[in-house]
Amino acid sequence: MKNYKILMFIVLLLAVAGCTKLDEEVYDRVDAANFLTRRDDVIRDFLRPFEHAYWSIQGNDVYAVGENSTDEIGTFNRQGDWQDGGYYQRMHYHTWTPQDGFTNGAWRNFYQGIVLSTNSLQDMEAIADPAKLNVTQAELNDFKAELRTLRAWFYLRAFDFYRNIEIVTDVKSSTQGGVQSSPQETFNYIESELKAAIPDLPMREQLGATGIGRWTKAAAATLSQDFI
Amino acid sequence: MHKNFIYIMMLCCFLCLYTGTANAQTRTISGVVTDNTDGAPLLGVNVTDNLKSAVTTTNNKGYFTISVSANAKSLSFSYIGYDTRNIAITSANTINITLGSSANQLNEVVVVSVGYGTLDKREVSSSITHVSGKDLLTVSANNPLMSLQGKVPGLNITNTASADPNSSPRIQLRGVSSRSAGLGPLYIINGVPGGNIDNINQNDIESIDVLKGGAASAIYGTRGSNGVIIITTKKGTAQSQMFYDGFTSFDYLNNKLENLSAEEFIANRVQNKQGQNYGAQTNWLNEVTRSPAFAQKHTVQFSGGSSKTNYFASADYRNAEGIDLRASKREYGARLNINHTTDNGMFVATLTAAPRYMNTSNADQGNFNNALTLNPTYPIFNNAGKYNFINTGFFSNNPVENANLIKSQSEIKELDINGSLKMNILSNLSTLVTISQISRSGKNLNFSPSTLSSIVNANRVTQTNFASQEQREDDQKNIEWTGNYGLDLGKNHFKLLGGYSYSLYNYKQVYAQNYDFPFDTYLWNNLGSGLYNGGAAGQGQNAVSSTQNGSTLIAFFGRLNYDFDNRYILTASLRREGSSKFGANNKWGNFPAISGAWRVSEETFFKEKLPWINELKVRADYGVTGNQDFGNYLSLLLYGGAGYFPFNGQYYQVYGPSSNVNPNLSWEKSENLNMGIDFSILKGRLSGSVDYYTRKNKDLLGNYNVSVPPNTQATTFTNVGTMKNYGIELALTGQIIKKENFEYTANLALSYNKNKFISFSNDLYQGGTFQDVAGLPAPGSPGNIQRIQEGHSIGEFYTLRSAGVNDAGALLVYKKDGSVVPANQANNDDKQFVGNGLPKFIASMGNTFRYKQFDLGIFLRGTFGYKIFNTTAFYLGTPSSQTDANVLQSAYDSGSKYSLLKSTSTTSIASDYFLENGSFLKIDNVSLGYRQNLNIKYLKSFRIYAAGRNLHTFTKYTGGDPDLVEVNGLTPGVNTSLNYYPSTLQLIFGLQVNF
Repeated sequence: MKNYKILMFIVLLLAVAGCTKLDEEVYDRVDAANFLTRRDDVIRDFLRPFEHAYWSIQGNDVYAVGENSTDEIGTFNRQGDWQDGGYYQRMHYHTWTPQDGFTNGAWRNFYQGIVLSTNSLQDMEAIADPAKLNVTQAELNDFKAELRTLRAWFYLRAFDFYRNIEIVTDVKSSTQGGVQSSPQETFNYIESELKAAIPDLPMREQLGATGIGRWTKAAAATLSQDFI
Repeated sequence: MHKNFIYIMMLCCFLCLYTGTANAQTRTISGVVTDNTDGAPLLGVNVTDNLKSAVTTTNNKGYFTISVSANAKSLSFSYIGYDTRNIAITSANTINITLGSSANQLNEVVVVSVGYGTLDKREVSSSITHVSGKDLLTVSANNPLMSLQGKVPGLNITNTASADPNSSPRIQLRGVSSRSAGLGPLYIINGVPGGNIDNINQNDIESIDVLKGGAASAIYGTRGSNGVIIITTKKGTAQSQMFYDGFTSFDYLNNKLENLSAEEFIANRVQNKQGQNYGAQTNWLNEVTRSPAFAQKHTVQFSGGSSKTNYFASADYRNAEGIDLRASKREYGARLNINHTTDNGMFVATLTAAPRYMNTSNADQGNFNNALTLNPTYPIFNNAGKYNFINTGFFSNNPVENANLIKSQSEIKELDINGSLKMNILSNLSTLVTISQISRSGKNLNFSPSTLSSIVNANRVTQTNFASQEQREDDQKNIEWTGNYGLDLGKNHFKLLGGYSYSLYNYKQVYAQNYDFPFDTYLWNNLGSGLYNGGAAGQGQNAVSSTQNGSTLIAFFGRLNYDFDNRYILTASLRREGSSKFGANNKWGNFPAISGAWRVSEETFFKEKLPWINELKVRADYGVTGNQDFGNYLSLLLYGGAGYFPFNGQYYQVYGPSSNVNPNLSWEKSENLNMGIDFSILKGRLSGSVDYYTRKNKDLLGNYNVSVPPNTQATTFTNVGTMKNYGIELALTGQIIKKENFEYTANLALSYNKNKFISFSNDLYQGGTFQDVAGLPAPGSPGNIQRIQEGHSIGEFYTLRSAGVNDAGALLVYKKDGSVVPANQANNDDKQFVGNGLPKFIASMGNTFRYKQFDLGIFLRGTFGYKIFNTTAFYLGTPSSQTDANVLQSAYDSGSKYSLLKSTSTTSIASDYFLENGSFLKIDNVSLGYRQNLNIKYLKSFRIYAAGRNLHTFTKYTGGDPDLVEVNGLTPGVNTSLNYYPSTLQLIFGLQVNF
């Protein structure tokens, strides 16, 4: 009788030992690996860096340090208001330190754009069968080209700001930063990207009135013209 | 015939002898024996006389009757756990006496909860502090743990808004252990992990055990790093009992921050063109305060049962106001616990249910901020009788209007329900299954009317009135299965525990808001009627939100307790735990612990030569604990929604990576070493313990700067960094005077803690060597004033070092090369370490007196060896404070160093000029009670009591009560905001009745 009880105890214990599942159930976000299942998902993924681009031209650190470090604008101490521990003072006198947020802020502004463009581009390139997602091959080529152009635009701005910057090609399996490229290398890279992208970009007439904020052949051409 | 005569003679002699014995006299004495603390009758007291001629025991009414020989001189009364008493026999035939419980620890068995079981205090080999429910302080507070403040050395309980009826304390054991994971301990309530701590009535607490040593809390794995607080509530006994406790409390403002009155403002500020005179005389502090703030609480408990079934039920009601105009809390709850044992003792079942309902109105700490900064010549009401529109200086608004018109309320429901079934398979083998659910459902309601002076003044036509509702649900389900096996082989005693634990956590939230309702009276009850959402100006997408997240925690654990002859004790435990929150590569972890103790006092040498040492135990333990108290899904690569962008004329919400993936995310690991001595000498008159501990926290979780590119986010939540804490704790209890009518007992708790941040980096991530924290707000935004640096303690102030004030009233500071310049000519490179905000010593002393039926407790508490940054003086304490804002008295008091800073050129520059000594000693609690046993039809006994809290603070700090400055957490010694909740003196009057 005693043996029976102990045996039952051990059996139950083993049964319960099977209860060791630790998977996470996510309710309000989506796992990246299973994200692209419909046409709308492709559009949302494609638009992500554009939305960032729109944010990136609305001022923030790029504007603040770009203007306060010149004689165009000054932000002065008013009875303590805006003194901010000398934040704007350091912009004005060019005595900033790495602890000042804007030194990183502008970099991140551009590079998040570059990383998001690369991430979306890599997502697009991973689509083997666009028809299954209700996207035509021409549309997919259009998306890829626009992302490359957008990325080149971010590189241009970062190049202008920092000169010695890093060229990023993969974001999905890296976590460590790379080395800086020489200015000539960066220039060559941007030029080659634009040249490769232009053929697949849409014409202004194709997009019509809804084309605001999208890269067209004309826009890219202007970019490369002014740049080169 | 001779034979008959002899028989008769023998009979006569026999009878004579017999009668002689009877005539040698016996007496019958009777009486009642009761407990001297609550007057309860004592059943089973052993009564005998000094000649041992007779012996009897008391019945369940405490009544005895004994026939002793006439020359007996005294009666002796003895009872387990109580002091034996010898009473002289007089001519009276009735002797009623009381017995007091024995403090002789040789006879008393103190049962200590050690997690998944209990042990006799003498068998404990790790660092555990046991506090009995009787020793808790008398408080009128929102959380029962406020009554534990200062009782456990090493456990620091702070509450910077203790007069707020909705405020909960912040609890930290043995120093700061983490940067980003939670810092609070794990609560175990009657064996169920993680209950709602504010669902416990202080009167229901039987005892609290704090597992301080790493070996003690390692049995709880990834929830044990910050210590474990085990709360055991009262259980029913065979004795039928009913108890009522009711008290009222009054809070009065004390330790006020004095700013200028209207006349002083006109004389000092208006005359110097630093303020305007708006014509009124307003004492803003009085206007935003409701003093005294009144609270009341009523508790009823009843319990009883038989030896097989017992129950304990309690219900309470509390209604409390805050010292500000808006805060209040009304709550009621109940706790029901039933235990049942089957006839043959094979099964023991328990069921506990504790529901609680709360309606709260939240405090607005900004009101006291405004009361300090507002110009006292502003009227509260304008000429038209409406609330005055105030908008100058320091982000101000009309705080009286805000407190009265803007609503912020919550409706909270809590339910803790658990049941367990224990099977006693053999006398030394048992198994226990416990199932529990802990849930909390809170609804947050906010409303702001269209008649606010700021809305009216701006002639707004949209975004006039505002309302929102938010529903938050926290749910935790646990199932735990343990088995216990005991084995005694001669002098070797083994206790083996094995177990499995599964916890499922879930959090849900829904939020909705709108503007522009047709009627202010709708409050938040008709969100759909608002015109703002979805309109052309609408914010449709931000108007509604909801979220849900959850996690799972699974563990297998085991523990072995071994002792030889109750002298050499060894305990080892292991917990293997996995959490769904950890990254794919690190789901499971092991948490081992080992502890040993030697009861030196049990050695024959000690027992013979040093009998005055009753108990001397030397112990050491080592344990590894973890911390997994951080958010969900931080290791996964998830796409989340961001802003909106058009595609072919249609707006889409864009989706992209919302976090950096980290498959290596794991728990914070803490390696704890503890060595201690427990002692009790002079028949238990003096007892205590000393502990030395070191804690090394590794793999600290935090948002770590990573490079962008190639990451999308600038920070990754990962494990990097090492921090160390070490210290000494001392607890002493002394029964200084112990007479029949008068007793005096003193308790002392002392802790010394030092912290050191060792590294921000590991092999994978190279961090900087420091991080700047504690940023001060606008106006001025001087930046961060503390720095956490490798090799330094947390709480280090890192600012410019002041060198006095020049004649123009500007602050002078030292540059890096030692020269002295006005502060506005120095820069970041001249900053240095100027002081530390982490207290070195925390001490408390309790004195308990008993004289006949009176009891008096005097409790002192103090924190020493740290500096506080006087934020109020920095913004408002100098004459150069912003125009039109009110200032503190110190600005124009020639005796204060702050009055020297007249120049506005250095106003917003932080320096150690504003660092003050924060040490304080507080008369924290004085309570006086009187007990009377009546034993009439209606009640058995009652006790009336009065208590005063926060009576007086001795300190050199000039910024009010130093207790209001947080010292737990990562930025001790500074408040980074002018918002505060004032310190109050609390008077409590109460009555307890036993039926």
